[in-house]
Amino acid sequence: MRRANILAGVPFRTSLLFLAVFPVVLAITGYAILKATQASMADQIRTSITEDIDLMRDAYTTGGDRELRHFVHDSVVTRPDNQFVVGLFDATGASLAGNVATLPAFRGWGYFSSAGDAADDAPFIGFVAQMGDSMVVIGRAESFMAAISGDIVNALIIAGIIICTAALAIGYILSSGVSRKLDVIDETLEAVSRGNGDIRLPVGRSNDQIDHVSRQINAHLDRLSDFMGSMRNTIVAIAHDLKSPLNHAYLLLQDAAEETDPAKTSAMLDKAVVEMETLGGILDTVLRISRIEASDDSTNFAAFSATQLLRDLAQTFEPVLESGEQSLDTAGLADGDATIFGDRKMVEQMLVNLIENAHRYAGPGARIAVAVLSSAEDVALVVVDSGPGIARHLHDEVFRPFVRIAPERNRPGSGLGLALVKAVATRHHARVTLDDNHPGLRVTVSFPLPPQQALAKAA
Amino acid sequence: MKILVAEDDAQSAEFLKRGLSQENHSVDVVSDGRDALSFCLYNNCDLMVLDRMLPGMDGLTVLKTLRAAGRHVPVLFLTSMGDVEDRVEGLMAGGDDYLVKPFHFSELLARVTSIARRPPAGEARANLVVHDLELDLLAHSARRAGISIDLQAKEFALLETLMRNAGRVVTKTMLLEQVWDFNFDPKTTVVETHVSRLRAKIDKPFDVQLIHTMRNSGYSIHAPR
Repeated sequence: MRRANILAGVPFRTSLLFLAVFPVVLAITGYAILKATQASMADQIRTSITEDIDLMRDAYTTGGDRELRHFVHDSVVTRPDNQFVVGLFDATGASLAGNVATLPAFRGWGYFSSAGDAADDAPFIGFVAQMGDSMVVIGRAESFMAAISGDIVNALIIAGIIICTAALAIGYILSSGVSRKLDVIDETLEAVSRGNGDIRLPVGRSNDQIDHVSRQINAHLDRLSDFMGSMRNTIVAIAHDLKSPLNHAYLLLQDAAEETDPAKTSAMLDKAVVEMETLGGILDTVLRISRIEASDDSTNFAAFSATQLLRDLAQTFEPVLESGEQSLDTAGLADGDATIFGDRKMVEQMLVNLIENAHRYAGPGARIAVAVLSSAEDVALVVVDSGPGIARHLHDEVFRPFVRIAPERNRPGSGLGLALVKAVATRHHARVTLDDNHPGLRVTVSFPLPPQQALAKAA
Repeated sequence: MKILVAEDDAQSAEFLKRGLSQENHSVDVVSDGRDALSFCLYNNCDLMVLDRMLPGMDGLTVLKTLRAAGRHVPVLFLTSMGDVEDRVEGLMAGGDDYLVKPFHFSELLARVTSIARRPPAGEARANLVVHDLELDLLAHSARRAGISIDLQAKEFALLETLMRNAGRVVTKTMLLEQVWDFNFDPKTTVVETHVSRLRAKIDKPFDVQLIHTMRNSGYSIHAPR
């Protein structure tokens, strides 16, 4: 893990940003706190002086000049610090008691020194009031306010330094943790890109965003791995299934080249053409499935009547089934008119594949039925036959491309019919289920109910 | 008929030129989309067989440009792009027909003939007649030698398609496309079975057979020759 990666990490860079912004915020906040504290202390001093004046008035009211003189004297004795001054003067301004040398020149509020000189930068704030023939002055020092302000500023600076150092340290630690995890992700994805499809990202217990992303990446890697596996199998299957008609055509063409009878040559060439058509058909279906699976374009989707679609197909296929000594039961289409939302032509091809499968594998004399079942949750299109059916353990298997169950290997068909059914169903968020019809196979494709606006548009 | 083949694969182009020439058509070949466009703009031609993936300018753009220029030369797309969406795109752009590679030459020939003799758009016909068989398109009824014949909807559509192309071959794929709107091969004997049923109603009760199977090609309806 390189230091440059840690210093470039988002947490560390966030802590640097914090360092740039925090002192400014602290200075503004500190200034506001300082000013509010000073204003509050000044208010307290004035309130305290006002209370003292009130007490002196009480003393004067109660005991006249004598009591007032005692009060001033006692105040000086009980408060020997330099923070408080009090003075009592006669009408001529001569000091009668207290520790203020001369009567300040102002009346009411003002600043003065202990000598009694009034000045704006004097150490005491005080009040001068007349009580009878006497004048009283009470003052308190403001010097302690400067000391407290200094303490507040110092406390803010120390707190700022501690917070900034801690933020820097936390940013570095977090950044190093994130950087370590990202290095692991980088190495893992590098291994995946080199072809290691089994490797996965470690997921920690902290359940942070990186763990969340790691879980997501692991899920994608699982899907990618499945997809690659399935693609590998499909490519092998395509190669195998394409080789059969290719080989047949190759042999027929070789025979035709050596055949001298024009009629036989023509017949061989016709057969070779049929094999090439089979080849083309397989490729077309593979491309169709791949296109259906890859697309998420729903612009061709519309609400349409599934019942009417099956009725049309029943009319088309009934003669075909009858020619194969099979019967088609359409009683399940007699009532109602169920609507589904999707691509009508895609669904039509899916249903044709299902009917065609039933026709091909159910055998002579089989009964084939088509039906539409509507419920509050979905619309199910059902194709049922009374043929040999498919063993339950193969129900999932048959949807994979080119999978044909053993006895059918020699029958015509590419093994793509049900893969296409599955692809069309998935594209429509529909569910395909195979069930035993006792005897035979029951295929149900359950479509979700169409959205209301699609129904309104169709209406 | 003067036919332009726009095909960049030399082997396919040669195959088409040879085959169409043998059918007494005059054939010109171009291998570039821009050449196809300028040929159609500055020369008279009765039909163009157009590949979709051409160098220079793709087939779809060639056709759209032609139609925008007011040229209504019939166009048959001949392409390996065979998905439903591709077909719809080609026909919506103004193509008259769409044939997917690989193809039977007889299929191509049937479509070329069908397009060339297609009545102009907007010409509505009330009835179709072949020999003593009459199809009333408005009343949706069929009569042969004055006897009314009861046809189901698909049988009527099948007969209508054959009679619109009377005297010409209609291939199985053309019938699947035009009667059933299937752009895929259902692998079953849909066409054969329905034609057989139609024959049982149209031909079997009468002395003269009108519906004929053309070996390796399709079907044709015509009066005795």
